[in-house]
Amino acid sequence: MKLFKQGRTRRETEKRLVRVNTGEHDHSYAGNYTSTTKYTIWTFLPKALFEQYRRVANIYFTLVAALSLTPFSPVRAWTTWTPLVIVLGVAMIKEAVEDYRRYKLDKEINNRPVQVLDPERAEYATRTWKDVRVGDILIVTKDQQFPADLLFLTAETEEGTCYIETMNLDGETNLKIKKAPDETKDLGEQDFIQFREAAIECEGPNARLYQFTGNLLLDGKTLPISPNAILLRGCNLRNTEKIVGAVIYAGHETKIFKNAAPAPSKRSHVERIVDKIIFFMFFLLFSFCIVGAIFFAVWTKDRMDGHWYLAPTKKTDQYDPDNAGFVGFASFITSFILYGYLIPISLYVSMELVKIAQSMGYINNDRDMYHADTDTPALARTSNLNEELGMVNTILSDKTGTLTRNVMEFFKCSIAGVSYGAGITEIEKANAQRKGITLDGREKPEAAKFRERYFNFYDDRLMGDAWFTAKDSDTIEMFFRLLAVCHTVIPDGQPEPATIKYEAESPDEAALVVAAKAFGFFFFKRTNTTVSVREHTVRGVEDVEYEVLNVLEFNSTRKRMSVVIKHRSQDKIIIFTKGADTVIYERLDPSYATNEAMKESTGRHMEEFGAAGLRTLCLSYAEVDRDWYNSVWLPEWVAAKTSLEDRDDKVAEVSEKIERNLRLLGCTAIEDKLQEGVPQCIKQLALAGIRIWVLTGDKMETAINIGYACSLLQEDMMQFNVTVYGVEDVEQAEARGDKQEAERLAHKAVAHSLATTEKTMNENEGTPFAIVIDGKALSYALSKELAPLFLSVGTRCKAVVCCRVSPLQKAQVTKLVRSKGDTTLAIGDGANDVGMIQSAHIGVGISGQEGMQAVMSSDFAIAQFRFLVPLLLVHGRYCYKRIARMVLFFFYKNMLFGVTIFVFNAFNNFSGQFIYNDFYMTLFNVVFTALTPVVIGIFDRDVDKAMALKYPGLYMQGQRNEYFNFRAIVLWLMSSLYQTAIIMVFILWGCRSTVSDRADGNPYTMWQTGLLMFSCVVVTVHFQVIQVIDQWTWAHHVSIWLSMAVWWFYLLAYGAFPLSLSSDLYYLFIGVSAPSAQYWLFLLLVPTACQLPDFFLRLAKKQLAPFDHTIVQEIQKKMKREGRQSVEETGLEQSILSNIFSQKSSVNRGYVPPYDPRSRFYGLVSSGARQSGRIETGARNPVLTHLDNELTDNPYRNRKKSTLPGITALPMVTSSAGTLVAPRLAEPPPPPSVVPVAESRQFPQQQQAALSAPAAMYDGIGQAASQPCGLNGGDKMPSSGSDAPAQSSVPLTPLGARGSLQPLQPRRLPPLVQGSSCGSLANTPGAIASPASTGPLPPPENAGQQEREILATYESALKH
Amino acid sequence: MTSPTPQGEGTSKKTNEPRNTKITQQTLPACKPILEPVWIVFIFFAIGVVLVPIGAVCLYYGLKPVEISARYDQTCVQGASNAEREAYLYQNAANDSMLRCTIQLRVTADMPAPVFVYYELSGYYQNHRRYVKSRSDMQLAGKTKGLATNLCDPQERYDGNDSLPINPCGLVAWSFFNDTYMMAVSTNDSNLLPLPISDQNIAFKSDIKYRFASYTPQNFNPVIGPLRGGFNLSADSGGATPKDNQRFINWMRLSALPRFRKLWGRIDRDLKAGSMVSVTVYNRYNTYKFDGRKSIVLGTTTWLGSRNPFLGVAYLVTGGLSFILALVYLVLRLARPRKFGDPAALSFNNHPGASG
Repeated sequence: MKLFKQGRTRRETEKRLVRVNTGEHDHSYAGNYTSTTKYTIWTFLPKALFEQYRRVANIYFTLVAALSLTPFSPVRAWTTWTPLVIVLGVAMIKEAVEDYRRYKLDKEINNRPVQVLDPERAEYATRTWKDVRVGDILIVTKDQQFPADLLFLTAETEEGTCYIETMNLDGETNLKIKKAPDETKDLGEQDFIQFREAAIECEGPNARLYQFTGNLLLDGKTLPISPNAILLRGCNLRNTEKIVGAVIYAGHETKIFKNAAPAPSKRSHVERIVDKIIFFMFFLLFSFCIVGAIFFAVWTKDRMDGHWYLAPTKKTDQYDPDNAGFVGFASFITSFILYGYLIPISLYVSMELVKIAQSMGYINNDRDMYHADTDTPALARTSNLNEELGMVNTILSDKTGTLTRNVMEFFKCSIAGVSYGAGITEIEKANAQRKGITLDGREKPEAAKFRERYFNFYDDRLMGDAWFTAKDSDTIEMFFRLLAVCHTVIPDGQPEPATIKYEAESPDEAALVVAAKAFGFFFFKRTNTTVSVREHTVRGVEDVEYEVLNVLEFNSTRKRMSVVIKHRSQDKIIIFTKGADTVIYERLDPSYATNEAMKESTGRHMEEFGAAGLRTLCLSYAEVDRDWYNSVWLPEWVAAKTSLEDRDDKVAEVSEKIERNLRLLGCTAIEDKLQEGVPQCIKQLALAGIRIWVLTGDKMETAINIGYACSLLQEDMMQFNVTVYGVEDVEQAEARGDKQEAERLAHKAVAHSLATTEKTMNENEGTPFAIVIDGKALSYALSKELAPLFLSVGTRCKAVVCCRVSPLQKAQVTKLVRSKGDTTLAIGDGANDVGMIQSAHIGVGISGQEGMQAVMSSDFAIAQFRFLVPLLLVHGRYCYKRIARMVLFFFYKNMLFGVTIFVFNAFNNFSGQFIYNDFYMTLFNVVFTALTPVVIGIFDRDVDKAMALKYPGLYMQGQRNEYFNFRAIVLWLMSSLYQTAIIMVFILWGCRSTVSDRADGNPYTMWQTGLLMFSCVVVTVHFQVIQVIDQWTWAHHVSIWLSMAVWWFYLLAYGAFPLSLSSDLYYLFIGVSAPSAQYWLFLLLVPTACQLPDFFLRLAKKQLAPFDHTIVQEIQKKMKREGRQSVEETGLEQSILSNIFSQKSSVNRGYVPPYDPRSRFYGLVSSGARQSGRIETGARNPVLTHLDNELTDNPYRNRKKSTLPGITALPMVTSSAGTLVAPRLAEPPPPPSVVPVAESRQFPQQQQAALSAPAAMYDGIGQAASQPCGLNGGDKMPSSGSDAPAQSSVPLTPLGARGSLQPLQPRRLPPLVQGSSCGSLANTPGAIASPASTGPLPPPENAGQQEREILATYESALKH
Repeated sequence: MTSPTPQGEGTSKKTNEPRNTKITQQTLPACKPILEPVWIVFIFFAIGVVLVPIGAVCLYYGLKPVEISARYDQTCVQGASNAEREAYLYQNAANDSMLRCTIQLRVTADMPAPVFVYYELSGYYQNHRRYVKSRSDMQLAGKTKGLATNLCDPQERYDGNDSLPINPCGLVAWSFFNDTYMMAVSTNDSNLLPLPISDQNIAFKSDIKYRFASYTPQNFNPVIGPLRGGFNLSADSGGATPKDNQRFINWMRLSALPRFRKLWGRIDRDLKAGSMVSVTVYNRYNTYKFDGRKSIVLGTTTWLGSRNPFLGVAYLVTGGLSFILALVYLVLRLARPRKFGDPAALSFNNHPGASG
């Protein structure tokens, strides 16, 4: 649908200069008259017809209809024209009605009134929208739509702001704030009458909704216009009385019209195969035609003369024996019409119907996919791809908002090197659970009163003013101030902490501001230039107004945002910067001593937070030199902001200059909770043979931990990590500034690690693999040379995690996976997923959230990730099977029918005569056999929904395309041919023209035989349906019995019609066929003989090599027989299902365990930690933790090479390549028996070093890849004193002990041993888990009690 | 929903929750016939049990009728080849008696009345498209008065003369079969007795009633055509109007295959086994030109029609096949037993890691 006409409008690249309010209009700019209709009265017929003929099938059928007008036609012309006219007519009437509606809507819109300033009469006058021109000044009042793209001039409010709703534009319903330029915001609406010298220079009309580059030329000054001052057509004004604006783009040049380009349409695999079958059918058709034409031409030439009764002397062209060439040609045309029944005319119509029923009837109405909390049902935005849902083998998923809820909660923080917050994330819980440890999940009563939306934090060192007395209270104060000031949030409502609402661009920002509020820094007011904060400090409560000098906005390349503020009462200029750790660390002041001290501990905290699945943000500030600011920086900034070209680049460049020499304050950690049912859902999908690729912007350790938490990564998987961070060569090259060399090396490193990965995979066939790759490595892996290798490695994995990827990379990965022929499904919720969603075979958007962009470009929208399970396993599977079966049935029946026509022609020298009546031939497809395929397509279901979910492996049938592959198609067509043969032999021999079927002695006549043959075809076709369908609902009964009944009803009714109409059929059935016993006897015999072998083969297949669904059907039957209605053989799946389908509204319950100042985790401490004073979660396998830490992209960390006590260097195992390939096993290899806790822990350091030797030896025997010893692969492993977790000593012990026993060890452990070994890890008395800087050691009795608790848990686990 | 307070929280909020109907939730009650081996064997067996007896009955009645026939186109006319015979046909066109010949048919078994008299042609394409189309059912039914229509092309006007529209028109009517037969029967001990052949009750009742009208034909084959085919409608040919001439009606009912019989008359008298029927043929119809064959056939029928064992045999074969399939299935089942509904047999249970 093209909404805009290119015609006279200027090219997009051209700049435009809009003179405001001059009354003279530049007519090269489009007016505001809009038309969205596709046709006018005059163009309707040709254009609408043209639209129809873009379908090849319609062209073919029209050709047939046209040919049927020629004397060569074997059929009466109306029998071909009627269906064609009906099909085209219905489609065109639909078009016409739709277009008329659009026309009426256009007319209404074009005539809407709006207040326009008339410069000549110097007053506001009411005009219609279509009369608005570029340069006009107009007034828009509350709840009106903007008639054109406007420059926001004033809103008559103090701040010059207004609220708009962009629903029509991007589907988002939250209000957005727009701000008028400062220079005009104070003008009143009457002031604009004199507002004549102003002009707007800006870029040409374009489709970029969120960007605008332009300047307001006012009083000789050039003022930059931010996109925030542009009001777009399509938006509504809300909560604001009225605004004044100047028209910049009108009509078809507005952004909404420029954006109305159609999304690329997707076609399913099945549809493409259908095309191929149609192609084959055409091939068959042409073969038939050619055979017939040649035979007929030769016969006519040589033999027709003898057949005097055909009057060969009375020549007409198509039977002229002297002109064989033309005879052949005419015969070809005749055959072309005749055998056209091979091409199913109603296939497309039926398919469309069925798909609409599937999507509108089932998918949109499935209560299993209805999310009560957001009141969102699933939505199939296109019905083209239903069956594709049943063939997915790779899911590419976004993380934030898709796997997680995108409900951000302030969860932890680290200030001045001290970690605060005692919560345990679900991820940590999941990690612990994996180890068989239960964490104490009780919330501390004090915490409850601080809980609110966005805030789930408690730490009595900070809360309730406790921080006043802390050591670093200055830093803490600054930290809180930053939270309250450095953002773009707008407060709404009463300036009271309880009632205020924050309008934030992202929930993270809101979480930070709410946190500031909870800490006593209440941000309550924002004007254009100021931010007001009620600060609750040791000095008392005070309202402070900060002047906001500049906002350096966030974007994905900068990965940070800053504000430059001036304290009203003080004269200092301060820049607050928050952003990703990497970017902030690069910009820290090296000469500021505190930085160096904090860097390490903050970095470590950030890693821990990341490991717990939290989103971290680094906070910093700096004082800015006033003179430098005013004289140097500010002018540059203004120049950059007002430049028309490359504005973004210039702004970024200038920002760089002020965001430096920062002082680190600490970091925040925000929890983005996993969505409900995600782990179960992922398990189900994995069981369904679906590979899952998670593409996330997160850090590697966050991603890995989320991966574990949501069951994507499993303990029994062999995991490979590919990264280029920490590769020494590369870093050295980078340090030298040799970018090319660095790239070359990185490329080489990635190549090497991929190759190693593949080799390891080959050696460990049958193990589930997982691969984790970061964005930078990915960019090399996606290069032309490495892409095939990466793909082959990736597709062998059950799970792939790509971290730190850009939206573009997401789309690239999707395309790469697609290129192998896999059916991909991309799921995401945000604008950054749009590329991925559009390039995958199926795009799924998460709906019910604020952002709608992903949904707008998706094919299906569901409210929760877990709904993928019913969407794929139920709907996709059903739709695939149904459509496949329906299409095959279509081809089967048409081939059966078409071939009988061809074979009969062989008995009349291919003269083009048919044995049937042309009218019922036409009705064959559209009436007698129309209903059953539709019912198959809508109602057939091989196994019940519950069984499809209980046995997710059934889904693999679709992935293998078992129902619609070459074999299936050929079998169906062979069956069709066999049945044709039976029918032809039985009828043409059994009912030959020399025998009589009645006592009266009349031999069979042609139409009688034809009637019997057609009856047999109809019955056979329905017998086939009866044979293949799996379940009988009333719809099946109705369709099958009704279709057959209609045939006989037709024979009765039509046979009684006037002779002129019914011709051959006139009284044929009643008078001739029905009284004959043979008619009915053949009708019983022929279909039975047709179906018997087919039936047998199907049953034999079921007996000898049953399909999976056959077995499940049997199980279902068995269960029913045994009276077990529900599915409950294994509790696991039951719980999975109940999790996915829980309709309970789930409040995002927070989780704050009782707090103990000395420990972050209760009962989960290790002796190693105690010795070193370091914290360890304990829930995680220390080796894994160590690995994670080593392998994640943590540049600053590796560069620093901080030496921490607690780990002995492991020997290097793998060779030269800089990258890390770290396969890992489920567990630390188990001790032969449970190693006594105390012993295992008490190995002194030296002994550990000694133990590394057997480990190396062990590696040598070639099992390295699958064993944790392999972990240490990579020559970049710090050679001494790594900063790995302190208690790495623990796993080393069993490792050493196991070295010799290894060959006998089972790879997987029984859960009990797993649990116990973990228990022994955790069960370390008296561990301390607080940062070294705070708190004393816990009293021993406390630890003892904890130990007892854990022992109790352990015992109960053993009993279990 | 009383006052339109924009911020007010509606008590009866409209939700998008899908309705719980059996159709949309895909929980329509359904019958799921899962066939267990016992049932499968039983079904095949049952099919056989139903089909075989039917086959036996059909075969019995298919073999019961008696049929005797003799080809006469070669013997009736002098000439060594079809070309010569055709030439003979032309030479003696003026003298019917020269085309007369007599053939003897031996009655092999008792033939109870009615005995049907057929002629059988082969190599004759009544199903050729040109032939099939060249007719006017409306005209035959007397619905269009006297007019020829272009449906009858190329046989709508006599001699191509516009003033002489043909009724009934078209190739089918034009090529109306014009051999005639007279019969006499002799038993061993008696002389020839004339055997009357009735031309009544030989066409479909519905044809006579609905499709053919009583009217005087126009310009319809006033003479036998130069190609020695085509007959007029007269007492001689079986009736003077289309409705009366049931041989014409039968001729107009086309045959599906190039070898066909048409009913020419019936003998309402029993024929004893061993008696000889001598048929006097007026051999006019030219089948020599296209190398066709002509035969005379006498046959009886039962309720199941004429002699035709095919139906019975087909039933027996299909039924027998069903028995065999039942046995084969049984053998398969015994040779490769499989537990009914065994989860272990699921392909994805055997290879937990396998996908694609």
